This record gives sequence, C-alpha cells and structure tokens, in this order.
Amino acid sequence: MNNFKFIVEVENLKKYYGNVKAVDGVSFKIKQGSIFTLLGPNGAGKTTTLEIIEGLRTPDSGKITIFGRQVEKIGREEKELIGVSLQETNLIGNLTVKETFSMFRSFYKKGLRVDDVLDFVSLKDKAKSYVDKLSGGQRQRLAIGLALINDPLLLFLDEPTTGLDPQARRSIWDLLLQLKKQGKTIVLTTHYMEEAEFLSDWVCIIDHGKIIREGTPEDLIKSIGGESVIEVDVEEDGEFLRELENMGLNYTFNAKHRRLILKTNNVLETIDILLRAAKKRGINIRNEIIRQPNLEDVFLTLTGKQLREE
Amino acid sequence: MIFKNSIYFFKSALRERAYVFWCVVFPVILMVILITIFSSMYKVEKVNFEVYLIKSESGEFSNIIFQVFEDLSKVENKVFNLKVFKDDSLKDKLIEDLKRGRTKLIVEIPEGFDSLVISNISMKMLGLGENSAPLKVYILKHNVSSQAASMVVRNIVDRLNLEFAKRMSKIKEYEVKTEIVGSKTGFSYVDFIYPGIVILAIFFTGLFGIGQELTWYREGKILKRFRITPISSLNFFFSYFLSRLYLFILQALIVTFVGKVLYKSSVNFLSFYFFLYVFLAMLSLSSMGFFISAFSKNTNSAGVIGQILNFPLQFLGGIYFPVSDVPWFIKWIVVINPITYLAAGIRDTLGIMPSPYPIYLTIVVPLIYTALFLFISIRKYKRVELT
Repeated sequence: MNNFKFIVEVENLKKYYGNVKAVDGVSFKIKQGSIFTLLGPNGAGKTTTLEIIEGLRTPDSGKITIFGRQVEKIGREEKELIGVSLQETNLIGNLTVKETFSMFRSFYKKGLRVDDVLDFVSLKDKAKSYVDKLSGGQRQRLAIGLALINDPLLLFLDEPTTGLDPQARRSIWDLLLQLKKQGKTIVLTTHYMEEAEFLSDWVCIIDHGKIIREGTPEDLIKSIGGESVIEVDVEEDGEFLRELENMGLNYTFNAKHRRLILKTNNVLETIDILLRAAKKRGINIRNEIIRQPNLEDVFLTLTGKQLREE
Repeated sequence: MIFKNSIYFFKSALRERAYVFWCVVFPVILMVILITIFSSMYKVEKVNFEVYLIKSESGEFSNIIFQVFEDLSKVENKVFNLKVFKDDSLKDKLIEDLKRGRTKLIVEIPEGFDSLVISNISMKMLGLGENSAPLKVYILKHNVSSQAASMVVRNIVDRLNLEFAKRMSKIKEYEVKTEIVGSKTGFSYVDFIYPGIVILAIFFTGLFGIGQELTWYREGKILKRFRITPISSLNFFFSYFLSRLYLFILQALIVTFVGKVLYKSSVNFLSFYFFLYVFLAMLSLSSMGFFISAFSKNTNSAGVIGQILNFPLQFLGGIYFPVSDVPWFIKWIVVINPITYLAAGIRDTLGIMPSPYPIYLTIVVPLIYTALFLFISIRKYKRVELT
C-alpha cells in the first residue's frame, strides 16, 4: 500500500453551501513524494477542498481516490496513514507539549517516538511547557509535529505559516523540505506566493471554488509571458493608462493601491515609454521596482486581482 | 487507549484553577458555611427557665403542688429553675421581674387555697357541683418564652388535677407510648446537607465542567482535531466521561472527608445506596453537560445556559432545604428537576429524611433524563460538522 503514482486523485469535487459554491468542480492528482500546493486567496475554497479529502466534510458530489482506493469518506485505515495540521491549531491548553504528543501518539497503531518528533520539530526544550504558553511559531511546530506523530505517508498542512514572522516561517519551510526528502507527500494550502514558489513541485491556483490554472511554479510563471516585471505607483489617470496601452505596453493596474504592473521582455524600452508618457501628462511615478515575474503575477494575470487583496 | 486518554483529560481538568475552585473547593466552602449557619437552627435547645412560686399556704394540697414543682426543678433534665417565696408581700416586685424578663412565669398558691380545695371536694361529694381551685399563673402576654413556660406549667397542673381526680373517682389512666421514627438521633443538618453537597458538586461539574468545556472543544476546533485521528467519537466521549468520573470520585471524597471527619456526619457513605445515587447523579448530570454543549453555539452561550439552569435547579432541587411544600407557581421546577429526585432518594435510602416521592421514581427519573439527554446530544453532535 506504499507505492502509488498518484497518492490522491480528486475528480469533479463539489461542495455548495446554499448559493455559495465553496468547491465547484475541482479535479487534480497528487504525485507521491511531491509537495502539492493549493494557492489562492482567502475564501477561494482551499480549506474546504482539503477538509473534504481529510474526511471532515462530506462533498455534494465528486470522486476521491486516496492510497489507490476510491472512498466516499476516509475511514480509520486511511486516517492511520495521513497527518493533518489544521488551519487553526487549538489544543488542550493545560497539557504539556510532551503530554499532547503522547496523547495523540496513543490514537495510532504505529508511529514515531515522541522524543524523536520533539527533536525533529525543535520543541525538546519546550517538552514540559503547557501548550497555552507556546508562541505562534512553536504552536505551529507542535501542530506539524502532531501531524507527523504517526509517521504518515501523506501530510495535509493547511496554511502552516499564516501569521508567523519571517524567521518562524523560514524554519517551517526547512522542516517541510526535510519531510519531502524523507519521501513524504505534502499537500499544502497557502496564500503566500513566495511559499508556494519556494516549496512546491506542483501548484493549483484556485479561486471561487475552481482551479484556474495548474502546473509547476516555473511553467506557471512562464505561461504569463515576459522576462521581467516593472512595478510603479502612479496617480490614477485613465488617459495615461490608455496611452500606455496604445504604445503597446502589457500592464495591469491595481486601482486600490494605484500600482501599475508591467510585463516586459525589454526593460529599458518599457521604462523609456513609461517615463515619456508620464512626463507628457505631468504624472508622478514613485516606488519603482524591477523584478522577475512570480506566482502573484500569474494570479493577477488570471484574475485581475492580487492574492492578498481579499 | 480509553484509560490513557481519560488520564490526560483528568490532568487537564485538575490544572484548570477556575474549574477546581468551582467544582471541588466551592462546594466544600458552601457546605462549611451552610453547616455553620444552619446546624444551630435545627438543634433542639435545652429548655430552661426561671419559675417563681409564691407559696402563701402550707396545707396538704399546697404542699403537694410545691413538692411536684420542687421535684421537677431538681431532675436531671429539668426544664426550669424554681425560686420559692413564702408570702405574697413581694408579689409586685416579682411581677416587675417578670416584665423585665428575669423570670418567665410566676405561679401563686394563694392564701386559703387548701380550704378552697377541701370545700370543692366536699361540694362535689355532696353532688353540689364543683369549682376549680384558684391557682394563679402570671405570664407575659406577647413573650413566646413566657407562653412556652406557661404550657409546661399547664401540663404540670393538668397532671395534678388528674392525680386528684383519680384519687377521688377512680379514673383509669391509659398509658401512652411515644416512639420516635426515622433518625434515632434527631434531625441533623450536617447529615441533611452532606449528600446534597455531593450531588451539588457533581451538578457543577456537569453544568460548567462538561457543558462549557466541551463547547470550547468544539468552538476551538479541538474536537475537529480529534476527529481527523483514527480515534472514534465513542472512544473520545467515553474517555472524557471516565475522566469526569475520576473528578466526581475526588469531589465525593473531599466532601465526605469534610462531612465525616470535620462535622461528624453519621451518614454511612459506604452504603450501596450512597454509591447508587452518586452514580445516578454522575450519569444524569454529565449527560446534562453533553446536552448543553450540543446546543450551545459558543462558550459564552454555554455559560449563559449554565447560569439559567444553575439557580432554579440548584435551589429548587432540595439540596439546601426540603422543597415538597413550595408554592404551586414554582412547584413545577421542583417536579421536573432531576436533582429533586436524586436528593430525595439519597436522603431517604440513607435514613436522613423520608422521600416525598416513591423510591422507584427517584431512580427512574434520573435514568430517563440520562437517556433523553444522551439521545438528543448524540443526534445533535452527529449532525454538526465540526468546522
């Protein structure tokens, strides 16, 4: 039961809450040993999709195949082989970290030694601390440790770095890469494009309950075209934007943040056109950035909005 | 696995200070306060008052009366002290004493009392009717102690009259035997309150310990975290219930220690019935906690529901005082209250106070509540997606 081409296969999954289409016909396949990411803004349907696969919610329709077996809802046998870190990690606050690990270890037939997991998630020195006393980062490491306690084949991590400072986030990324090296399959949800880009082998971009594009991060970025991205803040001016368009520039404009984003294969020429147009109309340009395109640009190109806008 | 998990839940509860205070310490404090305030109210105080006897006569009948009073004032469990005055010259001063509360009662055997008694007897023997002997008793009109003293003296005088009459007309006296039923040692508030407090402690755990905690487990998505593990819901709830069982036992032991060791309660807590009703209380009041958690949206609403149920069920369950004679408009709370049956049943079977309800009802009603609460809660929990 340990070798599969696709460890999870989801086909046309749907979950509606009244008129709200939380998951609207989602399909994907997850290769064993990969890091698979559902990337999308808040409310896109990432968590609902994950929780259906984890057996916490019942789908309205669709097909789920997990560990090579099609299931309506996962049972005890599948639960023995998966590890889950929920979006929100609340545990019994009056138990120590070690007691919490021991308690969860007792739920499974097989698993790792509590001390080994404590070591792996760097919580050995906090073993006797109460869960309530942990910092956000420590709590997240505890959640990941609990997901690992049964030495699972498949890990579901729902926004494991949300709310963490950059250092804590980086330490979680390192943990995940180590797990990948151990051969674990990781299903990740995030709305941080840099996280998806850094960790993922395969990314599904999801919005309004639908997968709008999927592929490796590199392929997705290439798909939008352009070698570079120029970002500038400009005063909103319809005529100015029309002029840029007439001059053949490929841009998107975030009206909320007055941020103009231009994709280009010729940075110097694009900047020249931009400056001339701005000078002509007497428009100030500030906070100029020239960078490589990323998944944020993919999302912006596909939906016209930014990932963290919502 | 169930046992191991129950120990973790138990540890967690013991580390929650508010929980330990309200469910373990508070019932004990309440018990100590109640016993301190109310146990003296229920004690039968030794009656002892001052009686002044003015004996202006020294004939045979006067001497008999004097002798009876004097003998009664010298017995071991005497109810009055007697002060005898040989003439009535001090009568006004003695009446002043009565008004000032220095004595509760004055009995006067007036001058000419004996000759009046003899003349009355003679008249009766000749069939010329009879008059009562003019023994005078002075009491204070609105003084309860004085009136109680007069009743004691009235009994003595009635007894004397009966003795005189028996001697004259051969009245046969019927013997009356009095037997105290129920507690042989009389009513003890400690015995009354102790089993009630054991039930109260369990009630607090059910209402706030289980009700609010499980609601927090659901609201805080802790139940959801358990649900994605292979542990079954039944296993979880059974482990949880077992952990509360340890707490109930701890509560019962602490309350028993206070009741038995500090307050010398005579209740036999090793009795089968004690365990039976404590177990019934655990079942019905824990399931009440499950019920509250199933219908509370969040911990705040569980707290509000707990408070709404707390006061009527606590005060109208017969824990602190008997509730069989409450007015009709609150009687219905008493009747539907499971605590009423638990408190009545445990007290009856332990010989503390007879139950106003048949004993089978004190067992069946808590069982019905248990089944009802569990059935509804399980159905509700099954329907809720723990998300």
